[in-house]
Formats: sequence, structure tokens, C-alpha cells
Amino acid sequence: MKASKVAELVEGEVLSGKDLLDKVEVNTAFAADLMSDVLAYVESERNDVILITGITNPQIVRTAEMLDIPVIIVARGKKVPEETVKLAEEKGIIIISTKNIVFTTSGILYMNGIKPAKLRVRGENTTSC
Amino acid sequence: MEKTPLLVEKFTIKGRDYEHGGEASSKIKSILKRLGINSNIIKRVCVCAYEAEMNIIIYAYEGVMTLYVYKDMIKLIAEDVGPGIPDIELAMKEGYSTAPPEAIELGFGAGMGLPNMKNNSDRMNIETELNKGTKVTLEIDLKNEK
Repeated sequence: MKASKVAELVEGEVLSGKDLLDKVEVNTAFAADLMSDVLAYVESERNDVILITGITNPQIVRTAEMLDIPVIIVARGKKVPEETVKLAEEKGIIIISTKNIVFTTSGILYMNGIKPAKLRVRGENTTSC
Repeated sequence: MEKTPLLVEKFTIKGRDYEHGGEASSKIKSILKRLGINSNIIKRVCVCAYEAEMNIIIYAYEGVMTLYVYKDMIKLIAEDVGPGIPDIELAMKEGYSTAPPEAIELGFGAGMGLPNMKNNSDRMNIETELNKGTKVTLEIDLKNEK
């Protein structure tokens, strides 16, 4: 699904990456406020994950950047600070702001065919160095 | 038998500098991308680097993260001047945290940092001394996809 369609479905306002809306393709999503959990669980091997969150600070963009997550939806109509939007613009990451809560946002996307993000296989064989 | 790294890059990180949290890891990502490293390996290195960087910011006074790129492996060493870890086993437990509220507001400090580093590396080592600091060494092999 095109990012532009995602913005339309959640009735969102696009805060950054407007020029990327019709180029970026997303198929899966992960919702969390805990960025460490995003880093722990999201595999993102196809770079097609939407991150749905209620957190608004620049760390959401940094987290997305590390995992090549192309789209962030900030739920609950929370005000996204300028520095977050600026960093996202710089890194080519789309931020969509929606008044919907995380539950509703997830439900809308799920009903329209967005699948759960693939989860990372937890490394059990790490040894000491 | 320490091999000579192809590339060494050092990044200075200040404690409590939440504003710049992730900048060093972002630079590490660009370097690895430029070197043409496999993108899934880059993600694993970046998760390790980012968690290590945030740990220095959240807990330490200052620190240095060094990236070593070898022919067959990437090594990250995050060394800080700080309070040290009183109980490593406890700190390695998912969900255990002593982070201040401001870290939690950012979506960190939930006791996932060290376990995340372990999960994304092939080898990990922690050396720590109370009231002195902590040194975390992480190695990620370039061949095996985990």
C-alpha cells in the first residue's frame, strides 16, 4: 500500500516526507511507545514497516532510521515537536499525525490489509568475547 | 591474534545529552552503508550501537563508542565513565531497569537495552567497575545471518 493511502485511511496530516508519499510502499505495521521494543522486535527486512506510536520526540525518527522504517504514524493527535519533524525530513522518513488512538489506527490499517510486522528471531547463541 | 581493522571510527557521547541521542549510531549507519555491508547486518549493528549510545546518555557522565570494521566482523566498543553496573546478571534481565523518568519518556529505560545488544550480536562482553565505568564490547560476524 502506498504511504499516501495510509495517510488517507487514518485521516492523517502528513508532517514530513510529503514528496515520498507516492513512492513509499508499506505492507506491515508495529505499534509501541517503547522504542527499545521496536528495536528488539521489528525485523523490517523489506523496509515496508509502519511504526504506530504515541511518542513524539526525535528518538522515534532515530529508531525508524536504524531499522529502515519508512513511515511513522503518531496517534492520539499528539503535537509533534519541530525538531522531530525536521529530523524526519532530513532522514527521508514520513510522519503522519492522526487524531485516532493507537487501537483505532491499527484497526483501520488491519482491516485494509496491513499485516503485523515480521518479528526478529531472538539470538540465543550469543557468546562472550 | 588481533587483526588490523580496515576502519576505526570514534564517537564521543555526553551523559544526559538526550537531544543528540542516536547521532553517533546514525553516523555508524552511514559508514557501514557506504562500505556496502549487507543491510540486515547494518540493522543489527545499529540496534546495538543505538542501545549502547542511549545507555551512555541515560546512565553515564561521558563515553566513547568506537567502531572497528574488520574483513569478517564488526566490533563496537562502548566505554563510559560512570556509576558502573552493580549487578550485571540483573541488568541483563529483560524488564529490569534503573533508568530515570526522562529516559522512559523517550521510550527507553525499560530494561531492554543490554538484552537487545545481546540478541543482535554474536559475541558480547561487559566489564564494569562501580563508580568508575562500564565497557561493553559487541561483535557481529559479517558472514552469518542471524
